Amino acid sequence: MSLEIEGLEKHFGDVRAVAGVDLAVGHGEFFTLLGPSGCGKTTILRVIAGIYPADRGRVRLGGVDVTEAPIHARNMALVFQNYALFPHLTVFENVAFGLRMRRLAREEIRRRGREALELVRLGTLAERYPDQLSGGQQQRVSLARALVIRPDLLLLDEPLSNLDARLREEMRGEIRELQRRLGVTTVLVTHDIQEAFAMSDRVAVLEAGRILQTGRPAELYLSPASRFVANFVGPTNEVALAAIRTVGDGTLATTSGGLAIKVAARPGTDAGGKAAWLMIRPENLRLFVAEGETDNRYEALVEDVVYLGAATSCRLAIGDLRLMAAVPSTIGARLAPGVRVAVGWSAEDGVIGHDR
Amino acid sequence: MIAEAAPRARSRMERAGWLFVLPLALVLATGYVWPLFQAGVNSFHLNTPEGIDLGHWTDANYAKLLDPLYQSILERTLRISLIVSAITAVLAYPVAFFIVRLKPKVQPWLILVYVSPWLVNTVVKSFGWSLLLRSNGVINTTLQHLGLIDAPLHLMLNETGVIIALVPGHFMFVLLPLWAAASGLDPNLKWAAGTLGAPPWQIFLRVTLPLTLPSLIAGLVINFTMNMTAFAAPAILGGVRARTVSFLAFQVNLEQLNWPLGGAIAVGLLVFTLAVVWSGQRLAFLAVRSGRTRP
Amino acid sequence: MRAFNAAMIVVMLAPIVLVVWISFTPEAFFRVPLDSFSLRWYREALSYPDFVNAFVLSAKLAALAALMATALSFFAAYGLVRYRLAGRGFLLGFFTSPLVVPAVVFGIAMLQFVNRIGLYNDLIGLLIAHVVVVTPYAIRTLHATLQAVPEEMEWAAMVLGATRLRMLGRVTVPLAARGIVTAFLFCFLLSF
Repeated sequence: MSLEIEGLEKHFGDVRAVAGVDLAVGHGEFFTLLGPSGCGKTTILRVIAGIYPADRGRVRLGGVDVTEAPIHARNMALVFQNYALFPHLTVFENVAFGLRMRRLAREEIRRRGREALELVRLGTLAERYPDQLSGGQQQRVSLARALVIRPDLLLLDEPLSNLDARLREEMRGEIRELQRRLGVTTVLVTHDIQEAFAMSDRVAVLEAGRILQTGRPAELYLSPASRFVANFVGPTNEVALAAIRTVGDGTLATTSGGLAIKVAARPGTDAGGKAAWLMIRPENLRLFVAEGETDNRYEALVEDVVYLGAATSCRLAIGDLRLMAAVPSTIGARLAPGVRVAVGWSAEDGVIGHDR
Repeated sequence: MIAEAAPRARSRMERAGWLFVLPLALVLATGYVWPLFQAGVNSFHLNTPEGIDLGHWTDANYAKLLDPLYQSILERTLRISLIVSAITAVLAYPVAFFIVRLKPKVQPWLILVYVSPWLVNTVVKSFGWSLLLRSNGVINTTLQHLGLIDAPLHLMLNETGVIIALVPGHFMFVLLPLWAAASGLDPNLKWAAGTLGAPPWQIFLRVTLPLTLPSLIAGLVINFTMNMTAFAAPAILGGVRARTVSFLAFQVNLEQLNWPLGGAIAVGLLVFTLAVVWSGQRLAFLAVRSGRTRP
Repeated sequence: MRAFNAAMIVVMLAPIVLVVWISFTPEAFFRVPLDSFSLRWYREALSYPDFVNAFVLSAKLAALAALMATALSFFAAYGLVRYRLAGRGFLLGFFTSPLVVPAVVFGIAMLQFVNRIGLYNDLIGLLIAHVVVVTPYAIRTLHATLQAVPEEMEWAAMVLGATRLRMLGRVTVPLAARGIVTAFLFCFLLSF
């Protein structure tokens, strides 16, 4: 089933949690709402599920307007951050709950319940109670409970944030696998960029109740539409620009310090008037580059070096400009504060962004 | 922290703990356990015009309890108590869930309203009820004025009056735990049930009720105990027709001055109440974890 | 739903409200004063020595009992919360048990006891009885209150040099103030 949201608004008293959101999720797609706490992503999910009524806007599932439909009639499944397993029911009873509500035959409930538990590899724990399970196991029961009813839409509210790092990675893969196998349209809500990128087909970045940009993970990372998005999806360097000129088939940007930087031409650049910034990812800065190796090359002084294991992060000074570079530690080993090094990057690596 | 301390230090710490507990324990031991024990002992002796005959041990007092007159009083007390508890249980749910949905700042005030009957002296309350319930009281006069009834309703000096007065008086013992449990209910559980297809009445039946049942039962147990042992309300509003065990105990002790018998009644009431409480709790425990597991 | 709850509130408050209202009636028989209010009966009550004495006595007794119960329960609760005493569950249950004992049962027992040791008509017997009856409420309230006071605060104070007693007075009691006042008020109202 496809999902469409049109002009969604929701406020709580004076607070505008959702201030006009439109999005469309295709059938079978894995879509993520990504943003910091308080950006409204959980609110949107709850409106989709019917827990909160929308103040304005429509929600359409498979083309059908479900905005007014009660929670229990929507055939969606919601996996909660704290799992919300019924403490007074066994694991099996939890999973079977949705089937019971649909008044299926006892045999069918038994069969499908077992199937669902096998799907998440918890067949042996059917008779246990939730408080006897580990966090990871509870999460899988929560998933099984949601999937067994064959929902038209699967909603996941930060399902992995209560798990430890290793388990999180494991579950990420499992959930993605399950979703692909079952082909159920899914909307995930999270503040974790890695999670969003690893699992989604498309991601929408939200802030203060609005969607800033929607697209594939690579699009968001390499072509962020705004400073907020660029900073949110990963560490980035921001260079204040004083002037932007089109030169040949590219763009020449000049920093406020007078440095000239070549940037590849992109639609949306040269917005004239609005304050502009150049964004370069730390991993795109190359060190010890020879003359002519890259489009942009400058002499820099190493100010600080931080060893992080596989990578080394260092702070470089080019005149007044400060840039962070991330290099493999094999190269980072040659760096120390006070060393002079040539740093460069290609014209494609820089993205010009404007303040909203 | 305590596990790491050296054994000698550990016992020193424990000793300090006992010191804190001792004063209260002593007061209770002398002013509570000892008198009860003495009364219990007394109940096994006979009462004579000269005083309590401490020479002979007897169970004659307890035998007297089986007297049909006493049994009928017990029966009546039991009946009244169960009816009051049942009414309270039914009324407590809508009230508790109404309060829980109010703004958090407002809730304590409403709870206070329900706690207030118990803070007010029970004699004062019973007097107030008598003004409402008697033949020429507020309720009867109003209803007659409005032409809804011809003759005054007998709302007092019978079991009905006692029941009407006891329900609000002991209501908070059920409301408070129920309200606490309702407040503590994870809203996600309701929403989860909803998304899985449960309409509101199913959510109540399958999620809310089972999860609040332990608190309800805990409250009902106390409520029942209070009902069984209430004195002022039955005395003032029950009249001759609705004597309860507590009044009987009062009569025997202070009017007849038959302390051994009075003690036997007291012990009998205590044992009976505890037995009902215990079985009620067992029932609750079984109900919550009942065999709901199916393959 | 709202109507139902409103009705419930009326039922809860009715007898109290009625008694207060009627106390303002000017006549010597029961009548709900709708037109004329009078403080006549208040004046009479206040000039009735037995009433005033009884009232004052009840108040004194309640205050004393509440004070004793709160103080004793505070220390007992502290002992139960901060120390791993053997059988602390049992002790808490024991301190709470007067709740289960029917008032009439306890009354009878105390009556016989007090008569035996000659404290009949004496204040002390009455005081002890009141303390016993209100202790469950005090201990429950203070137990919960002290559990909510973080032990780290006490350790911080002791590390900085306070003896346990000083620490109690300067740290624990202020932090538990709300609970202590609640317990005291509860006991007072109950006793009165």
